[in-house]
Amino acid sequence: MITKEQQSIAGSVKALSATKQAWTLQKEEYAAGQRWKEEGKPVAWSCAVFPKELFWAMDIFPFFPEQFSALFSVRRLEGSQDPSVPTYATHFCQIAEAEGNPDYLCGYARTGLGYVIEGVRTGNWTDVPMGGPPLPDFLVTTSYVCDVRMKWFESMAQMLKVPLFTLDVPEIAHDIPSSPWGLRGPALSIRSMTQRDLQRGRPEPPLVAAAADYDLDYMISQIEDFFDFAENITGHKRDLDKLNEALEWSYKTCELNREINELRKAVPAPMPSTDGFGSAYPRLYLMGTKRGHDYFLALRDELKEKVARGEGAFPNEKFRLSWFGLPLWFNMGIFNYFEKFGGVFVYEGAYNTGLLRPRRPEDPVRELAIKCLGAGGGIGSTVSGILEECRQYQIDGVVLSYLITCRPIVFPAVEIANALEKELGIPTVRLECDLVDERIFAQSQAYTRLDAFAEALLQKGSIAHGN
Amino acid sequence: MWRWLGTEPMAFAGVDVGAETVKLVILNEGEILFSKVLATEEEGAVASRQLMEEGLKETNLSMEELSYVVSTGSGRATVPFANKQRSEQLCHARGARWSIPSAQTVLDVGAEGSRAMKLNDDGKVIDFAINSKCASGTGTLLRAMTKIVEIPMEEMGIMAANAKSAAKISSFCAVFAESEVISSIHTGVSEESIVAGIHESVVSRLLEVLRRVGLVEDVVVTGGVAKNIGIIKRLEPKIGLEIKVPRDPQTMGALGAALMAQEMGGGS
Amino acid sequence: MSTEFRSWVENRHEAVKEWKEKNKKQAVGYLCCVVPEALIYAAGALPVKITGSGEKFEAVDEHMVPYGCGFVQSCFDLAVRGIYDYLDTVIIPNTCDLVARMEYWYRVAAPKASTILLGLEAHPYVFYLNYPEKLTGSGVHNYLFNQFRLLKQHIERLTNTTITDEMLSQALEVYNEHFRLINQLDELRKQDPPLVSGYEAWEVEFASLLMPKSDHNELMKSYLEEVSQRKDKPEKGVRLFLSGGSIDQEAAGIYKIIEESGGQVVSEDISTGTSYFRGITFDTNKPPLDACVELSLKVPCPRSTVDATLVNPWPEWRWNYIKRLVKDRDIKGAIIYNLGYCECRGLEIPHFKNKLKEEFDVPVLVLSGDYTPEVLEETRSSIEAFVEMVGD
Repeated sequence: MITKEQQSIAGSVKALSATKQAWTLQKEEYAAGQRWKEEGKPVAWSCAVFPKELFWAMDIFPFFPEQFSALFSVRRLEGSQDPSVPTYATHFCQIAEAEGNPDYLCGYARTGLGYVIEGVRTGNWTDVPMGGPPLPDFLVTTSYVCDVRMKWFESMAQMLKVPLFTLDVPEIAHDIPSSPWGLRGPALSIRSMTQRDLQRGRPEPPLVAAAADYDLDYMISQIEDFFDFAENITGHKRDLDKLNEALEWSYKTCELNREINELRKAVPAPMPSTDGFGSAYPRLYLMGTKRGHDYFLALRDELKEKVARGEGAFPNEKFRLSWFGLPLWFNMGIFNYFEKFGGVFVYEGAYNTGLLRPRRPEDPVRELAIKCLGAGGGIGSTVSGILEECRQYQIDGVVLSYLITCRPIVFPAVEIANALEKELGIPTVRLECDLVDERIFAQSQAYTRLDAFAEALLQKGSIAHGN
Repeated sequence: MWRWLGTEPMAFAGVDVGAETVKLVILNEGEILFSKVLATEEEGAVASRQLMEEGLKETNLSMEELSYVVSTGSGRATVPFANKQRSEQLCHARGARWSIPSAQTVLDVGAEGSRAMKLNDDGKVIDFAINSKCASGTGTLLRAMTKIVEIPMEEMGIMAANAKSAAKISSFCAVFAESEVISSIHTGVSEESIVAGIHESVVSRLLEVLRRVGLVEDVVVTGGVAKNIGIIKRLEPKIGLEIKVPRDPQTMGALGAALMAQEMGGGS
Repeated sequence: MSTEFRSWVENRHEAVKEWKEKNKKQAVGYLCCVVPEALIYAAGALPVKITGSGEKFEAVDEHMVPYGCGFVQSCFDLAVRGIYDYLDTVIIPNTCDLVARMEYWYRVAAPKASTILLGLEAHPYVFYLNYPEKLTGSGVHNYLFNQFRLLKQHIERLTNTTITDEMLSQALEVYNEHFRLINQLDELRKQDPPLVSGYEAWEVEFASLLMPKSDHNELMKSYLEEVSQRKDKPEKGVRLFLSGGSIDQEAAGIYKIIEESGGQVVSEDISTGTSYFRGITFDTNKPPLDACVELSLKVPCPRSTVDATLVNPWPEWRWNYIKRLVKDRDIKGAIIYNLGYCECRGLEIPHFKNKLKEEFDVPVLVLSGDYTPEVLEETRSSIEAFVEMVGD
């Protein structure tokens, strides 16, 4: 049953103290960015899946509309606690919709557009959480993941009257289903490889199933085009040493994340999704920096000790859950929701840093291009990825976030539910919601559904706990 | 009177066939002779004929003496005696402008949908937006809620207008909204707060439609839901403008249709 | 004359099957305008634009959520039900998010038997064409050239033909002629009232996506002659511009609703006619495959993007294309018919609304549909109101 308190925006309760550092990092980044802008240095607005190392190589300070849209979703206008007062995100969504942007668009896009529309109209950019991001000198997006991030950035660039660069990442079809219900054989497996593997003389794994030399050539040309574009605007020269340094930090951060992902397999779960999603900021936006790396170092160390002591995040773990998709940022408390039943979200694959590729310090541009190409996906590999995760983490049930405004996340959802049921006998429950727009979430209906799911899981019993 | 004077009768009629009601306005030279709303479950052709018979009887006119009839509303095509059909957008805007000559933004909120019209200085419609995808933001939702909260519509409106706080009820989807109302009842949220929340939910939708055409005063609300004081009082602070409601908002569509009939039929 | 075009449109599946039977050749299905039809034509195969139907879905819900483009879902539904089984291969480009994912769904849910070697298909039924998202950029021509080279090999294996440069050049000539004839038809719509109604023009153009271009060209010549001598022109309607996405034989009902409401579409920006190719032709001075690449990169599909640099701060490439379609048409209003969940077109709506008002001083009606005939019918009252409003 929902209490009056639950009608407000809910944050999550974290299990690890290292995770709390993420909020501090965010605040520091905003302050640093605002100072950077005041000093007349170049600021870009970009997106989560753009390789940040390119910004570090060019001395550009990036901010991210997806990120500040999420930030805007956790505060109501003027700090109100009254649930009938909209959040900043919802408020900006309404502004974007009033201008004719359809309401089925991604919540990040509507929020970002509304913020820019209002900012251009009133000149007020700072009456928002954390004083808002510094205004951009140019915009940089990528074609990877979805169409909206390209077209939305076009609209923003038009309104802000700034240049725009799109990094075109070929959408490789390494999408061979692993187990398409008996129709075809097993997929090509793509092994992850560390520097040590390379040193031991193991052959480099295939790039991806279908990437070819011209895909790589194109990707390299895109990166070179970005450098030309950024040099032209900022007057800074591309610095391949800085790129190498950033890629080194990324590599080390990804290694740490690989370790963290392994440690998270422990029973009881030592690091739930409260902390997994709580680490989204450094993982997505500080990749390639020392401060990002150090965050995960502290997290890994704390986690390692916890696992050594056999400690779980939650003392009374009865069943293990996974969250498919992205969260509803305005209600992160949902990741604590099942605790009253003994359920814990033990893993979320959404922001997985992906497979490691060997470093190529002699050619960092090529290394980055390979990394970009390897980030592809599709329905088939998403489905096989989830199946593998559920096996590894001994998952009893999966919550599918039906982000009805986020097409790449929601498109595979039915196939995932089918595959989980058929291949592993894992039940799923779906949750219709939006990333940041709290209007698109029927709280009472959702919680009723989750309660029923919990009861069904308790009755079914847990793989890991044998009850 | 005109028979006594020996002049030709110049009466015109407008019929608005909606989902739950039929409205008829008969006028002559700009003077309203008859105006009525009939709640009916009959289909459009039968209901419009019934109401017309009543109107003719009361005005002592015959069908032949009506020079021109225009029909509007979702059931406008079903009116057998209409000379022409015209959209609700133009008719409601016309009727509102005639009743309140300073009208520049007209919001018609009916049972099945809401529409906002933007008028230029000459009273011509230059833009409109509609919401008819979902029951949220319509009279249908309010009516459904009266059954759940078990409070009559008029009382609900007054309660909503005076409530100090409003429960958070979804405006995105009528089904979401209904389940949230039921849940709020079970969790002991006050009746007043729930009713206010329902009205806030409808108002949110109306605001979206209004914003799509842009708000220029005077803002006039027409349609059956305009009689709901709760909606009006909760919408006003959101738009920051006073809302004007014609004396008989539900007949504005029929009035507008009658005015058009007057023009088309050669009246002044 | 137009009845022959109509018969292809109304009985498209039967018509293609008959053509296959008669000519003993292959039919190559494809989605989207970026696929190089001419390459398929050059091999002697029939390029067939895949479209949907107004029938209720039978197979979609088992695989997909409802929050996606109804048109693409309908195409998929027909494939799963076997309606498109007569296609010998299907080319799926990575145009928009849902179309790109059709590559998986066609393979898994509408498969065709194929030889498997080492876990891979020897000759896949589905060819995934990786089309660039950005049309500018130093490496884009070479990239797409390689994709087309692979596609050429795929078509060659299918048809057991080698597509020589000469064959491809001849195909480009046929297509250039097609573009010229369609442009002539388009010119007839500039007149007031236009010599052909919007729906008729749509039907003629749409037929060209189903039948061999050379046959269509022949029919067009006599058709154009007949039209130019018409005495009975379509009823004078309020002149309108229509912007919509996949206006196939189902969604084209909107033309009829507009005409029945007293309007007349005199120009359009849609992705299932040839409006994308207005004013562009293959450059026959270039090697033919390069010419195919160049033309494909000119397709002004809203899902694509270009860079905006300091030199060219806002290229307005999509608006300039729309402007060409609207100029000299004397339109009184514009209708943007946004099929639900079409994000690329959806994001353009505010900008185009403003531009149409600013540069052409016309009001704009924005409608949403979900590709179903029921919701299409619901647009009637808004269209009637809009036509009344602009005609007033």
